[in-house]
Amino acid sequence: MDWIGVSVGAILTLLVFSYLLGDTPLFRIAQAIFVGVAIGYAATIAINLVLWNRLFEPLTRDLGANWHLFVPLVLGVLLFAKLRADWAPLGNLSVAFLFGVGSALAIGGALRGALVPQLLATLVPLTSFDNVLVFVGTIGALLSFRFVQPSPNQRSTRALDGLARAWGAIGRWFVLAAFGAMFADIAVSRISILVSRMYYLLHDWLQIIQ
Amino acid sequence: MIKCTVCGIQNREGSKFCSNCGARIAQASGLICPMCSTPNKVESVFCEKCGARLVPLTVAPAPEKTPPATPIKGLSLPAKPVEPPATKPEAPAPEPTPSEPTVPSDWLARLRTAAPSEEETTAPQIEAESLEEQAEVADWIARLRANSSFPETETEEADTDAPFADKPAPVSDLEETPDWLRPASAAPATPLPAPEPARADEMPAWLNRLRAESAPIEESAPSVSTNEPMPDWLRSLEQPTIVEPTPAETPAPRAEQPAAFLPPLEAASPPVPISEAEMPDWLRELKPKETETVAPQETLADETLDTNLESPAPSLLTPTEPTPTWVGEVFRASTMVDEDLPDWLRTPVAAAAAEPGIALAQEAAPALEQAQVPDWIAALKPPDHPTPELEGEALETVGPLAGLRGVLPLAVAIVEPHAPSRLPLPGVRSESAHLFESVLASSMAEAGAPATARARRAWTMRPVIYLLLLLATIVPFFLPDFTSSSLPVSRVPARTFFELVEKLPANAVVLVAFDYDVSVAGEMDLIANAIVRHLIQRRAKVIAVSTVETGAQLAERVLTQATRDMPNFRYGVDYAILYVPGQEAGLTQLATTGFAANARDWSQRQPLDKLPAMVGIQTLRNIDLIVLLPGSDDRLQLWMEQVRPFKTLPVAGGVSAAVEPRASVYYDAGQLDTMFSGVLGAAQYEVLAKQHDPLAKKVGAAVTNANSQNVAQLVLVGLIILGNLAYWVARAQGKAK
Repeated sequence: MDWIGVSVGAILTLLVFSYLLGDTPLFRIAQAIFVGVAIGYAATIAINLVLWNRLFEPLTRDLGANWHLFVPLVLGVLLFAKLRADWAPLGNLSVAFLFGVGSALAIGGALRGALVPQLLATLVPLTSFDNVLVFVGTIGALLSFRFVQPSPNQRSTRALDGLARAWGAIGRWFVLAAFGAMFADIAVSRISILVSRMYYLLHDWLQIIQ
Repeated sequence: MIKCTVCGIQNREGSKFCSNCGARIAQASGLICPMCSTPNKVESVFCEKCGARLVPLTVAPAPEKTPPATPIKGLSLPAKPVEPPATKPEAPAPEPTPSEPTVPSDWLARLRTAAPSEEETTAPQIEAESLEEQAEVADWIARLRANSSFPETETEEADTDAPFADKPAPVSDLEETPDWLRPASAAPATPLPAPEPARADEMPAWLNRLRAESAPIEESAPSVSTNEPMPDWLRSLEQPTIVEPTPAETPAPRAEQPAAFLPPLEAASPPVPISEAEMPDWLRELKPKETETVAPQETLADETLDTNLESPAPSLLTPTEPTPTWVGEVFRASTMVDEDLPDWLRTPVAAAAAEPGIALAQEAAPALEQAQVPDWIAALKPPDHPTPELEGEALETVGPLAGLRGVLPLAVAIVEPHAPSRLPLPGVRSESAHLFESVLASSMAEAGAPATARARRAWTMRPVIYLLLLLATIVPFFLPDFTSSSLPVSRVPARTFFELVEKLPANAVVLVAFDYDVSVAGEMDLIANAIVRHLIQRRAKVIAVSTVETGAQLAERVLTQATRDMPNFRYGVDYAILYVPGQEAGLTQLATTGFAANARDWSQRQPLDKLPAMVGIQTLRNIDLIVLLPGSDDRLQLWMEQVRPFKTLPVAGGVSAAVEPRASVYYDAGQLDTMFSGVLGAAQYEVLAKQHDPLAKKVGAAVTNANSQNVAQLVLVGLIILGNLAYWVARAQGKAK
């Protein structure tokens, strides 16, 4: 039984590899199977683990203790009003709830988990080479996106503009290095996936390597 | 709905232009201005836009016969009733309004001076001459001057009914009026009881109003014009009529005409052809020397122009009798500069143009050369013979541009941006189109050959690259392990991670987040397998969670494989798998309030409180370590933003190589206590685990995969270097050539 599943996986892997020869029907078959299975799997998970286990089953088991679950139930039902044009405004409440809560959590999380910690991480004492590198690279990367031209009449700002341009040119190299590192990491990740697929074919399916 | 008179398409109410052909839509009960085609109300006398007269002048009915009013067939001339000054007839005329030119244009002045100097032809120029020149005028004009002291009623009638008194504001026209005529025109009218108009029910309101104002004046009009001798040229102008009057339209006798120096044209009926002997000299000069045949385009333009006038003028040109070309030009020019023309020239020219039977002198042609026509009129003049380039252009049928071709091509493009032109291309344009197509075809054919060659070269290189990568990934599987002994493990991030797990207390609870899907499972499974094996060795309680639908399934597979060698490590007792829905909300709830009360595990669908592995674990406070296994940046960001700020417990990450740049930022900021990435990190972790556990028989799959990955990366780097070298060599050769 396991061998059938492994064989199906191996055949689908070969179908996907047929894309090396072009957009062949074999690749399209594998693509359609992947999309269909993924959607069906997600729908099954949502029905079994969310709707039934966390909503309908508690309501049927103890309605008095779980009366608050009517709120998500009503909001969820109102979403179906979006299927009809004249009833669509009824679903605005659910959509507003979803977007409002999602936006609030995302913004709050970005402030707490990304912006403030990242800013604090750059405020380092310039006591080591790494910290100097962080300071120069961070400020330089910000200055590389500075496109403001100074006023020609102000001599004092002219010197600052020269400094900002020079620092921004250095920061541009930091940005390029970061982009190169990101691309290299993605390439390494994709090679890892290729190697794992070959290992699957040779080890799990053909079993010619140990 | 309004039906378009041109194409018949129904348009919405209130539409000014047809939605199909763009023609101006005549209102159901409106009058179209002959000059600007603006629709006006029925009762309008003058155009509300340009001030042109909309309705023709009418002849007041004779008291005895009361014939119906006959419209003057010619240019519609403004004849709004005048209210002359009642108390001071001799008062100087007020300043003319700026919109009404009082001085004839230069070309008309030249036209006047070019006329012969006979007595008859100088008569119209009297108004511009000095008193000394008056001695040279004809006797009939002198007699008219003698009768200039008309009664007030006569003057009023002259201003009202004379067809040549076209200005609606005669007060301003006093400056144009000759001196000998000015007192008469300025004479106040005497109010008289208005007679009963004939057939008033059949006439519009404005006509009845005009008749009501003019009829009583006619009664008192002295019979001057018929008794006075008239010059021949004037009499000849008087003879032809535009439309043959019906018996009911018997004009009023000349004796009853107002005391104007020119009688109305309707009075001259039936039409009598003018001979050249009777023709005045100045008009004889206007006639071309040779009789011209009307070109088709010219006839069409004239007919269209006449149609647009929407006045009795369309009947002027009979289709069976072609009008000479020069007459059409004169008529059109007089139409365009109607306000610039003096009274004496306006209607006679129109009348002459309208009379097909008039035979004018040939020597008059030079007087109306194009050089003497204003430029803006000359620009509007359609070509005598349509050029081949303009044959395919659309002919304007309405509006001021009627009769012109191809004057508004952009308007057509805007109205129908996607509609292909149905007009056949003229010969010149068709040749240009074919030439353009041939140029495009040749350029594409020339560019096709190198493109095919490049594609052939690319196709020959691709299999080579594919083959090299395939060999680099497959061959190391059959080679002995050469990575584990060469991997540095002393000062690597994986060692920090490994030491963190080693420091965990006994029976520690570790939350492992399998936040990756099947697309990166080939890489992330190796990382997860290495970490989970170590945790199982440490007898830690593993709570596997995932915010991805497929993550829980992948966690089950990894844990199942990891526990094969350790049968005492059981699901539900030593480890559990949970699915956390809700993205940000689910993680926030997990960080703040703990696991959901109604949540169930993944494999057995049991409530969490009934799982031995979850006993005593309700919130993250009961967790000793959080291990993140994100397969993408957003999954790592989700945990860092929603969970990390609320907890102070250590967080470690085993991330994909693609997520390493983002994870490094969190690691440098201290949000991640430790991390490693990729297959190489997993291989290092396995090597560390084998070094720490001497009983381990062999290394994991991560080391085996790392062998192939190292070779594949070397091949890839070699291909990149070779490609760059080839590029630079080719570039240097190109520069050398």
